[in-house]
Amino acid sequence: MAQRSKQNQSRASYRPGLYGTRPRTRLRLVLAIALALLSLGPLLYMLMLSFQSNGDIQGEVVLIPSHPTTSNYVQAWSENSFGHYFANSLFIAFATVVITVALASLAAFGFARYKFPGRELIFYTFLASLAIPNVLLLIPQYLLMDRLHLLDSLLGLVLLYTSSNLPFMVFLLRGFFAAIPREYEEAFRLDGASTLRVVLRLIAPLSLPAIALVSMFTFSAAWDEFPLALTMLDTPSKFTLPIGLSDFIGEHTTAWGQFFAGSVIATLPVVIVFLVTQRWSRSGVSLGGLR
Amino acid sequence: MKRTKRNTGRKYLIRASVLASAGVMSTVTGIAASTATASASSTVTLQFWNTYNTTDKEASTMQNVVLAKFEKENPGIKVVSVVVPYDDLLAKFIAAAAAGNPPAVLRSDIAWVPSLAADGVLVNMSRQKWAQPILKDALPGPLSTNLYDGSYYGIPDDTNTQVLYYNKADFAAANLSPPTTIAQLFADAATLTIPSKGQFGLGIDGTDVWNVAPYIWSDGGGFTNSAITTASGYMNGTATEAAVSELVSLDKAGDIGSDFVGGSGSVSGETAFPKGEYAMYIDGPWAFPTYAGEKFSDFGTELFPAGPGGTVSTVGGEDIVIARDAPNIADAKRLAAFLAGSFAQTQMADQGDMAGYTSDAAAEVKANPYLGVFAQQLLTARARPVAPGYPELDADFSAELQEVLAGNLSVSDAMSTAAQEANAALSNP
Amino acid sequence: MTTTTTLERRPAAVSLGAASRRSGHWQRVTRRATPYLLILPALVVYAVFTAYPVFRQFEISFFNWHIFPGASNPFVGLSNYTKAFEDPNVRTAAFNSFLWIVVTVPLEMAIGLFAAAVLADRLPGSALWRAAVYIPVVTSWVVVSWVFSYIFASQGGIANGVLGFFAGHTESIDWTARTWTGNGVMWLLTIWKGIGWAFIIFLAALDGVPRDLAEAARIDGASEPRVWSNVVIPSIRAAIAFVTVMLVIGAAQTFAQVYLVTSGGPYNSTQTLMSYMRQQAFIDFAFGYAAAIGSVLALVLIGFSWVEIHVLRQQDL
Repeated sequence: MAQRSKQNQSRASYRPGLYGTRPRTRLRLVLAIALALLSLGPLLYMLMLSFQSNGDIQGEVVLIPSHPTTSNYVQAWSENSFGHYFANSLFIAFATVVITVALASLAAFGFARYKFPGRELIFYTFLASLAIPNVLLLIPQYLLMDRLHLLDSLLGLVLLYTSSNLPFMVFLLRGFFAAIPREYEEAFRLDGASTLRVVLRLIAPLSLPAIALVSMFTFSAAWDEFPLALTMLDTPSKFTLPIGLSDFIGEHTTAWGQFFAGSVIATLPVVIVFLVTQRWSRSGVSLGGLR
Repeated sequence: MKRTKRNTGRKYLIRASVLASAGVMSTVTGIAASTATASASSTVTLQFWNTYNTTDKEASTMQNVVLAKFEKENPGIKVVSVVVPYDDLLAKFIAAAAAGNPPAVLRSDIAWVPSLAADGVLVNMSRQKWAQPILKDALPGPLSTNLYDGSYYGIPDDTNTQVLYYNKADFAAANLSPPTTIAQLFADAATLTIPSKGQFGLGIDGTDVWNVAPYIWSDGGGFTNSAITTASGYMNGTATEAAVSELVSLDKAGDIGSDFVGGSGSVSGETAFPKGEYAMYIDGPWAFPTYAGEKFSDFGTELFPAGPGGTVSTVGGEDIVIARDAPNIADAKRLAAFLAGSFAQTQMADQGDMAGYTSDAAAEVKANPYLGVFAQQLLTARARPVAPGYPELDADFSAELQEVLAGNLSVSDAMSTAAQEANAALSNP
Repeated sequence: MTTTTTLERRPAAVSLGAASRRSGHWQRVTRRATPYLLILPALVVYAVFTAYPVFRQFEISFFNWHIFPGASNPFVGLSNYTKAFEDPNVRTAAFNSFLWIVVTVPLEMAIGLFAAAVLADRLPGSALWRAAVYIPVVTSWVVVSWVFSYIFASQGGIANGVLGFFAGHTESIDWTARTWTGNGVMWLLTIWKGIGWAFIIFLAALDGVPRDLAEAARIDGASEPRVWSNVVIPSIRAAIAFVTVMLVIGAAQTFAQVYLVTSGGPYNSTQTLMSYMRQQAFIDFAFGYAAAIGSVLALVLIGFSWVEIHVLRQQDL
């Protein structure tokens, strides 16, 4: 019954499941719920904590707040220029995504579709940087930004983030582009399609899941970054959200309720970006060379 | 096939060049904008880096009251207070200083001053004419935290010390009055431990020097010699070991709270004390506004119970330092002097940042009576070893003490190892 | 139309080929230059903002470097490196980093693969379950470190509450204060946060498993575990290798959690290489030394990755 309805879907999108004729749906559903609870558990706990006033938080085992209040959210947002930090982070994250996707797509395409001397060497050197601990790059990068007059600028951060995201994104996209069979393109052309058609009808739709994935990784990396942002920025109005969050953790006292409320606010955009990109990368995504 | 590559490639190239030029344009405008704001106005903008609390009125008082007054008295100078989380301020400052781009003024933790001074980063205040009256007026404990190689490399900003907090309800229930000697303190800690109520007699917020020193110093022990060159004979001296042993046996008997062994998940004194879970603990003046906010007032404070060494507590706080290549250094010095002046000091004292100067002591106590006991404690308070190797010394001592508490080492073994490690740290910072 | 050039007026591939063969010198130059032009922007950004600082950092490791510009930085050759090999703290930190890798990576992979297996085929609410498993990955380390600190708080934490409920413990465990439980909490945090990442890679990888092969095996009577070990796992070999490399690198670079959850304590016993490096650099001001440690770590990781990638490439062909 369930099988048949699956088969009745449009032929073009029908794909037999991994489990074939015995999908074990019920078992998998139970496991799925368990996994989801384990994953979301701590976050739900954080949500609970955010609705507790500061005095109630420490020292008590509380799952459900005894006196739930939204004051933490109000305070977090209004008191500490949170809105400002939010906007700054948003700008930085978006700009990073745009530039990273553009540069990474170009480079990945170059690596994937062309053979040229030095290709492997450059590519793997590029990749090697992933292994380098970037805790220590702080000072050389600061000195560099100083010389480029990019200190205390959001744009400077964007460039730094782009640079650190490029290796991984190029790697992902290269695998992806390499896996788009040229036969598809040939087929389209033999059918008489113009270049524009090829790009719009073939490459773009196929690329979308990969671009979505890359965008999401880049966005969340840029959104959460803290050490570079803190070191490079001096003007308080330019500070980013992670810096704003850490404001709640004082030297002697900490505003836990507001911290967790702020954390919830800070986590929402990344989750939204994730859900949006999920829509674009439904089951069709194959990560090329990772298969 | 060649056509395919070229065309799709070209499409990307077109897209890319559009994006690239957009990127270039925004970069250029960004740079232009930032340089424009710098040169357009004739006002000097000073950066003042600090770690003030933004969750209470500390940071806002500094910006809106103190700095506002400074700007009024010095038209043409604007001060931006950059609040940075404590754990990261030093790293940020170092990076900036390394690039020759430090802030005008830094409110530095007292523990960092010797290391920064050793690296040649700071202005030598002893050689500054304008700083002389300031240095003379400073309280001895706070002043000593700026010492390096015979000169002072900073001026005290705010200071604080720890006194004994005792929970009145717990004491009343046990029919005790608060201890006046350290021996009685230890005894009371045992008496006031009532497991059925979840009550510990004493809370100690960690095994590092800041939390343990009052017990050791007041009991006649110490960490290093006065020249801070060696820890032998001090850290592993009889008095220190006796004091440490006392604390260890109290902990083993279950009289000390979870904060002693610590870790960021344990319950701090500030949390457990208002609930009566710790009958006593030591803390600084900042607890008062917190407790007032929580509507908890059934407690008292007193000088740290005296022992053979007297009543000796720690000196905490911050110092004001200026980097040698700070921009607008003349104005930076003016700002520093203002921050050390009476107005700034008394204003911040209202926020719990006690003045580092004798001339302000009376005023701040008058405005905030609860600071009285702290002011008195400050008279005999001692700074932790002021040397570039101090952080490592602190870490080593704390680690060894943790080993003892975990039952892995005896006190004498631990202290001997600690002294050895401390010697290494002091001689090779 | 607007995007076609004179050469592309005729859509047929054959005549196009002829046209490009007839193309002139300039066309050939453009064609050969294209790949370089394509990778150039990314390379430039990378070279300026990452590669150059890396070289500087490597350079610093050979000096006894001081912050103040203009201060003399004596060249000390390899002494920072020898110091690193003799430092007991480095040994502890390296051991902790190693443990970290060995504990967290296999678990992240196993649970991630398990989750991918569960969610590979359609389920009611698939999108929701997948999102739920992945979301921890996008949360901020700072935030979740504090949340976990709360869960494992020695008094009032849920963990102790649960223990007390089930095991009747009246004495609560001081999780973050002792070395091994402290490590345990951080490992748990890392694993919790890393599962989603492995999951999403494996999910995509499972998508590429040849279904007919699996079905054929089943028809032939193979048990489900057999199907998995003989059909599924081999076909996602490359993904497994990739995830291993990335997780190992990530585990070796853990820093934030240590800092936040246990502060490296009980002092220095839960330090990892990264957190120790940072301490040396920014608290003890020993930059050259920290840089040396960092260089060694980087070289080890690069070596490891090189080996793994070679394995991956063999199978890719």
